[in-house]
Formats: sequence, C-alpha cells, structure tokens
Amino acid sequence: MFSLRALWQNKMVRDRWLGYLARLMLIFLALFFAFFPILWIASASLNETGTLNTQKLIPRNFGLGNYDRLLHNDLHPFPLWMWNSIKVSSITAVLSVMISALGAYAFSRFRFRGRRGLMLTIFLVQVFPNSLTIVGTFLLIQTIGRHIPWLGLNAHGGLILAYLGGALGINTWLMKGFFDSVPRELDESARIDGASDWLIFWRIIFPLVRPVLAVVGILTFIGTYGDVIISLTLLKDKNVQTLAIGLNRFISDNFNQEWGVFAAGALIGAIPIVILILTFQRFFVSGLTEGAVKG
Amino acid sequence: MATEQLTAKRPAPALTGSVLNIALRLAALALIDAVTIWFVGELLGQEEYILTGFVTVITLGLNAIFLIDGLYPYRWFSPGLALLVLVVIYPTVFTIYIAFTNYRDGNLLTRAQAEQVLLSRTYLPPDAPTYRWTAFRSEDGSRYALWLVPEGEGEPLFAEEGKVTPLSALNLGEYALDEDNVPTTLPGWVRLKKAETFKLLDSVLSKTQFGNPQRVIMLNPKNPVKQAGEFQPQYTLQADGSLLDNETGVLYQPIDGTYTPVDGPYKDAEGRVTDADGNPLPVIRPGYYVTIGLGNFKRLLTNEKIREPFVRVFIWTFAHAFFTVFLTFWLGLGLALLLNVPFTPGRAVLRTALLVPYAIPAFISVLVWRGLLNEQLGVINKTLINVFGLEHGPRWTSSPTWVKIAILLIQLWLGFPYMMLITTGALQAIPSDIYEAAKVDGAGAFQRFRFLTLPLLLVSVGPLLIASFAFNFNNFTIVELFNKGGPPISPDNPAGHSDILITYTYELAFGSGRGADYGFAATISIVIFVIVAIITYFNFRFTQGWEEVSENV
Repeated sequence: MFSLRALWQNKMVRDRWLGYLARLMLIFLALFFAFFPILWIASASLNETGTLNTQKLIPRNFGLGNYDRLLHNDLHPFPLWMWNSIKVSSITAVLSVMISALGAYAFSRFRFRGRRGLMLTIFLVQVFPNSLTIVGTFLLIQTIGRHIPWLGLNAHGGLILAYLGGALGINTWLMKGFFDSVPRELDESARIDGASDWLIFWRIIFPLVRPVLAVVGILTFIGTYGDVIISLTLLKDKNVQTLAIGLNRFISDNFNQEWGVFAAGALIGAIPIVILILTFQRFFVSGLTEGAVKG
Repeated sequence: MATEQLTAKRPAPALTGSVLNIALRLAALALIDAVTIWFVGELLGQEEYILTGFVTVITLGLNAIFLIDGLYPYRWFSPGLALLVLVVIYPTVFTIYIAFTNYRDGNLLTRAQAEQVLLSRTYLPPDAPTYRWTAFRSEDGSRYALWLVPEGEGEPLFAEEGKVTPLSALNLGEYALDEDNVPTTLPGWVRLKKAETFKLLDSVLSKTQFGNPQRVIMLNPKNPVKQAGEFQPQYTLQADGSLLDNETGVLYQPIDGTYTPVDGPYKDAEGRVTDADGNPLPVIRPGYYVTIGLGNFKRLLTNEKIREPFVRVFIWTFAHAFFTVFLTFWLGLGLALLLNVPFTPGRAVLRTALLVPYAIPAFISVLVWRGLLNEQLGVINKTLINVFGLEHGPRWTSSPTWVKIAILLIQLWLGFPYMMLITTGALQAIPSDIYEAAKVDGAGAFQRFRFLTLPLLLVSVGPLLIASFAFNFNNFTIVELFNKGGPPISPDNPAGHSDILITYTYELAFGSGRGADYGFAATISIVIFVIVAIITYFNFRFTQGWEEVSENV
C-alpha cells in the first residue's frame, strides 16, 4: 500500500514537501549569512599563525596563542579596556537605575504641582539622542575638567557624568508603570504604622520591583557598553579608553598582522553581551529597549 | 481613583523630622553650596558666563527644593534633575549658542583672554639694550634669575621673574665681582656652572620672562647663548580695540574676532598689507569668538565648496536610514513568515540562533565586517576573485558606491534579527479566523498577504519602523567605525561619501588633520535636531502616541 511514488503523486503531499524543502533551503541561507562572520572570527582567533590575508576557515595551526597574546599586550591593553568598559557601564547602570527609581516613585505616589509638566519634559528631552549635543557635551566636560580633573576629559568620572544626563529619561516612565502596579494599600498600611516616604520606598516598594529594576539596569549596561560616540569624544588616552574605542584603535593600528588577536578580543568582548541579550530577549520585543539601548 | 486620596495626603513638611535628619540635610546643602561658590569663582575667572549661570541655577534650585516644604516631592528628582540640567539642557543651549558664533580653532578664547595673550607677547627692537648674561638659581631650586652685564653703557642688573635690581641698589658689599663683572655669590642664590646653564637653556631659560612689565628681559632667540635683551611689547592696544604691531607698524583690526592686517607701511597693488618683501601678511592668532548671526547657516547654503558635499551627506543620511529599515524589515519579515509555519522542526532553536547577530555589540560586528570586507585581504573579495576570476573585488572602502553598499550590507546583517523578532510577535497577534474568511472568499496566498497580513502588520510595527529610521538616521557607530565616513568627497572638505550628518558633525568638531570648527559642527547638529523633531512629531501623529503619553501622566 505504502509507496513513495504514490505519495509523490499526491499533489498536496508533494507540495507540502517541496515547500518544506524550499523553506529549509532559505533558512539554511539565512543561517549561513548570520553565522559566517562569527565562524570566520572564531576560526581566526584559534589560528595561531594566520593573518587576515592567509586565514582559512579550518585553522591550520590550532591553538590559543592569540588569546595569550591578547591578554599580554602592553601596546594594546585589552584586559584594561574590558575592565574600563565593565566598570563604567556598571556604575552608570546602577546610578542611572537609582536616579530613575527615585523619580518613578515620586511620579507614582505623589500628586504635586508641575508633575505633568515635568513628566512631559522628561519625555520630550529623551526623544533627542545625546549624540546631537556632542559638541556642547565635550566643551562642558572639558571646562569642568580644568577645575575638577576626575570629572573632565580622559577620566571615567567625566564619561559617567555625560552618560548620567539622560538617567531621568524613558526609564523613569517605564518604572513608573511598574511602581503603579504595586498596590497602594501596601504603602497605606505601612504609613499607618508610622513609616516615612523613604522607608516605604526603600523597604516595601524597592524589594518588590527589584527584578524589573535589574532588567532595566542590564539594558542600561548593554547600551553603555556599546556606546561609541561619547567615549570616542571624551577619552583620548589608551589606558582609560573603553573596549569600543580600544578595539577600533587596535584594528586601525595593525589590521592584517594582528587579525587573529583582534578576533580573540572581538569574541571575548561580545560573549557577555550575547549571553545577556539572549537571556533577556523577550524584553527587547517590548518598548523597553528603545530608551535603554539608545546610544 | 486612588489619585484623589493621594492628592489629599499632605507631604511630610521639610523642616520637621528628627534633629539628625535636619542636620544632615543642612550639612549636605552647605557642602554643595560651598563647592558651587568655589566652582563659580573659578568659572568666572575664565569668563564662562553661561555655564556659571547654569551651575548657579542648579544650586539655587537644590536649596529651594530642600528648604521649602511645598517642593517636597521634587527632592526625589533632585539628583536626576540636576544632572539633566547640567549635562543635557546646558549642552543643548550651548550647542545652539555656538552655532551662531565662529567658535573654532583660532577663535576659542573670549576677547579679554585673547587680548591678554597677545599683549603679553614681546619682541627685541634692534636698538634695544643688550646684555651678556649669567644664570642663577634660588637656593630652594624653584626660581631662576639672570645677572646682566650691559654690552653698551650702563651698570649691571640682576633680573628675577617680576623684578629688576641695578647693581647700585644691591647691597653687595663684600661680595666682589669677578673679572666679567659677575658676582661669584649672591645671598639666597647659587651661580650656575656653564654645563648646568646649557642643560637648562632650552627647557627653562629661553622660555622665562625675566624683569618686570616695564623692562621685560629675555634671552635673544637669535643668539640665546651669548645675549639677553630688553624686550618691548609686540602690540599696543588702540582705543578702537585694534592692535598696533610695534615692530612692523602694521595695524591689526579684529574682524569677526580675528586680528587681520588692515594698514601698514607696505601694501601690494590690490591694497593688501604686506611685509617688506611684498608677501601678504597673515592674520595673528589667537583670535576670539564672536556671534556671527546666521553666518554659519549662510556658509552652509551659499558656499559652493561646503554646500555640494553637505547636500550629498544629507541625501545619503536619509537614504541610509530608509534602505536600512527597508532591507532589514523585508528580510526579517520573510524569515518570520518562514518560521511562522506550524510544525517546522526546531523553530524555537532557529529563532534564537538567528538572533545572535543582533546580540553582538554593534561596534564589534562592524570591526569584524571591516576585516571581512577589506579590499585586498578580506575573505569576501578573495573569494570573489577566486570564484569569478576577477582582477579585483568590489572596492568596499574606496569607491563611493560600494562603500554605501557595504554599509547597507552590514546594517542588514545587524538589523534583520530585530525585525524578525518584532514581526514574529506581530504575526502571532493577527487572529487566524480572518484568513479562513478570506479563503472562503477565494483570496489566494499572495492576496491574503498583501491585503490582510501586511496592513495589519504595519499598524502594529509601523511606530517601531519609524523609531528604527530615527535611530539609524543618527547611527554613528556603524558609519564611523566602518570607514570613518570615507572616501573623501573632495580634498578640501571633511565630508566623505559614506558620511551621515552625525559623523560629519563629529568630523567637523573633532576630526584630526583639520582645525576644529565647533561653531559649524553645532550648526549641522541643529539641522539634525530639527529633522529628528519632525520625524518624532509624525511618529506621534501616526500612532496617536501623544494621547497615550498624556493619559499615562
């Protein structure tokens, strides 16, 4: 009874199989497009003798030599760049979440004059990316640095200061939504017990919204980690530069010869972010990303 | 609603609460005030009036917020608001302000600063008194001085920084002069040996102004080892603010903050001021910045050498953002449709796998692509050359057309997963029964897609597409890191064939090689600002997002 020929002659079954094969082909093409650069880089990082010019997909001299050279390179201090990036992004994320959460709590729980105007102002300001005022920001940080060097050019304090300007931004709006969802009965009962506003915020609401704040913090971290324009403008010395600027310097200095080492750096620099994003991918579908990842 | 109850609740008054609480608050305020007063003093010294104003307003605001009961809720915003005003509002205001000035290299100072720099310059007149000199160092090693023996008539002098003392006023007494009329020792000073003197010649002695403003004594730059001379101020400030060069007799008038030669002893046939050999004289630097009204905007619109590249950059900025959204949307939608068919094995895994390009930080991806697309050595060109037997591959970084294609290719790779993600969500939200109805009415697969799927999809995804357009409109990372906006359009303009407005702005302000032109860069920023405002406006009109925003308040 069962025969392939009979199945093949059944038009519906045949169409379904052909369609499936066609889709498989297309998906395979897409996977190739998506993964070719990644595989190529991974292979380059493991090929000890390859330059950009001589690289093959299957490494000829397999080994971790490139990683070793990456971690011990005085001219291009990769571990330092990575550390700078992580340090600046973490501090920015934590401070930004705190600043935003304080504002969101007040927007959610207090009614006061100017509240509506303030919310709309914050909303309007964050529409414009901070790259537009890069000239003004540069001159501001330069001027501050003449008097307070650790908040000036070439200093992480100055860079973080520049990032924090937008802390009271779209994140405040998002968090206000979450704070609104915490029942007010909780505050009221605490207030009857004599708790102050600060105690209610810190002891009751904050623990409840902590998971959400963590996600917002991670998104801010990712956005800061990926910033190029502000760090490129403010940091000139290679020992204070972040990964984005350092890798760019690296590849501009000696592209061909250092291709394998660069590849190793690119992979190490990308992996933490890839893991974070794939873990939190559902938050990227919603509007959450728009403000958080903005450069 | 809960709102009404909350309105009734009186916020806790500011100046009540525990004594410790109040003390801490006042101490913190006092600290902030003290820092501000110091900082404002420093800023005023540099004539940074606008920033002074902002810092003062921020501090007054903080004081008001923490001292006035009625402003209690604003305490919760104080750190965020202070940062917003300082790091967002001030740079915005200052960017707009300098767009109307000629703030650029050579004109970075205020008028008072520029005058101060120029009036302190000196020259050695041919008939000036000259001296043989011997260097001394103070006993603590911090200062230097010269013992000067006139080459002509007169008595020897001792010149410190800021002070000249003739021999007769020095109570040398028992300190005898040697045969060169130089004292072997001076109280508080150590005479330097020849070897030490030579060591210090270039680094210290040649750069120091000895003597007081009336008698500026410096080493003669033409013969520093042997001779020092009594220098005169190079310029004299005239009543109308112009500077007279005492050495050449040329009059320099500040024109838009730049001291330009307008009159002098020598002029060529066209009336330009020249030196004695007939070469036109340059302007003198530094100048100062002045407001020039719409000068930068006029330059942008009327100067052919600036307008033509600007128009190219302008068009490419739009084209780049449009094609990026267009290409990523269609590829993302296509893949979403492919993976949306039920019973596809491994759907979830495939979806996550295709997200990976989006998850890699863009700055890393671009640098990787820069390697893959390298014209001579990159794998893509080498493969193309091998497979098709070409003489050379596409010139991804040096051809005006291919560089644009390369950027769009990178954008496609970076961006399609996001589009796949959002269209997948939107497709799943479309109810399936409308397709059944359409089938019954005899609509084919294409018609169902064209007249049902696409319109419904665009309603939900449209705002995200516009947001994506706005984001890529200013996508500095991709363009700057791939090719720095190059290749250049013309040698005398910083604009490049792949530049978008934001990278052009960056190049004008911070690009290496040419002097920084902050004023003009700020002008381009304003152009972008206006465009982003218009895009945002239409996005809100399109989605009625503003009503949503207002309701959420």
